[in-house]
Amino acid sequence: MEKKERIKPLIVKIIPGNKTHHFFKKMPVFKLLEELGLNSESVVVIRNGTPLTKDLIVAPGEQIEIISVISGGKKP
Amino acid sequence: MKRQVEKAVRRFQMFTHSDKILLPVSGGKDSIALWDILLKLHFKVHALHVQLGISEYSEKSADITKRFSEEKNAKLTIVNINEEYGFNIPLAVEKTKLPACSICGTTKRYVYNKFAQKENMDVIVTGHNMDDLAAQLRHSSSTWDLEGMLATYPVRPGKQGLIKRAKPLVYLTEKETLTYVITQKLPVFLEECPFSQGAWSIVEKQELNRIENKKPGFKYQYLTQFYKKAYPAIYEFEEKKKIKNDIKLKSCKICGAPTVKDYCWFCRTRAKILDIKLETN
Repeated sequence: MEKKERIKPLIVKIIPGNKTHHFFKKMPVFKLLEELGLNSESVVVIRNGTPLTKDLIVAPGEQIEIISVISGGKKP
Repeated sequence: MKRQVEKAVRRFQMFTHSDKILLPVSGGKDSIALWDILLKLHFKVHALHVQLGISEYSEKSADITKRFSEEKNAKLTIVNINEEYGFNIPLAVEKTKLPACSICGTTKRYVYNKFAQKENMDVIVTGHNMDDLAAQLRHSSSTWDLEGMLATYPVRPGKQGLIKRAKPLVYLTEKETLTYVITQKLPVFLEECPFSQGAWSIVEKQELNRIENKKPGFKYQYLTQFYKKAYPAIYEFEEKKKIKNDIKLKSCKICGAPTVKDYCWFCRTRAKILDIKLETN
C-alpha cells in the first residue's frame, strides 16, 4: 500500500502563554489573526526571527510566533 | 525609530548631548529599545535597574539588563530594594494591601530620583511609549483626574528636589518598540509581571488598539492634540489651584524628599511595611 505523506501544519505559538495552534491552509497574516481573534495592532507576528506585515502569506509547514505587545502597570 | 526619538527630544526640549541622563531599565522591550537608541544617538546614558524581589521575574529581568550592558559596553547600576530599604514588592503588597503597580511605581520613582540626585544627573528618561501615555490619558480623563492627565506630558520640569523627567518614546507604539528589539536582535525579557494581570492599563490599551485598527493614527492624534489643545489650559488651572490652596512642599523628616506631609509617601509606606512607628507632631 502506498504510504500517504502527511501534511505538516502551520504551527502558531502565542507568547506569552506558549499556547500552540495548528492550521492546514495558506493565508495572509491578517486572516490568521482574524481566525485567532487577535488585533493586529496588539501583536507582532514573527517567522524565522523576522516580523511579518499583515498582507504576507503564511503556509503549512512553517512555524510562526505571535507576540503580544501589550504590557501593563506602567504609570507615567 | 531613531528619528522619532530625536524628534521628541528636540520638540519637547528633553535633553542635550551635554546632559547626564539616567535611564531606568526593566529589561522589557521599551527600556531596552530606548537604551539602544540613546546609545546609538551618542547620548550620555547611565542605566539603572531596580530589583523588586518579585521572585524569578525580577531575577530574569536583571539578567537581561546585565546582558545588554555587557554586549553594548553600556553603564548600568543595579539597586536591590530589599538590600537598600529592607522590603520587596510581595511583602509590601501583603502588609499595605495597596495595589502592586501603585507601590512598585512609586518605589521605583523614589529610587530613580534618589539615585539621580546622588549622581548629579540632569534628567530621568523613561521608556513610556505612545500606548502607555494614551492609556493613562484615557484612564485619567474618565474621572477627570487632571494631575493624571498632566502626567502624560512628555517632559516634566525639575522642581524642589525632583529631577526633570522625559519620555522620548512618546511617538512610538508598543508594536514599534517590540518590532525594533526583534529586528535589532537585542536581549529582551517578554514576560509580563505577575502583578500586572488585570491592570487597568491593559484594558485601556486593548480598547485603544480596537479603535486604532478601524481608524489608523487615532492614538497619535488623541495624544498630540491633547498636548497641543488641552494641556496648556489644564496646566495653568492646576498651577493656579496650587497657589490658591497655598500648597507648599516641605522636606521629609527621614529622607529629605519633597512632601506635603511630615514624611514622604515612600517613608510612610516603608514604615508601615516594616512596622516602624513614626513620630508625629
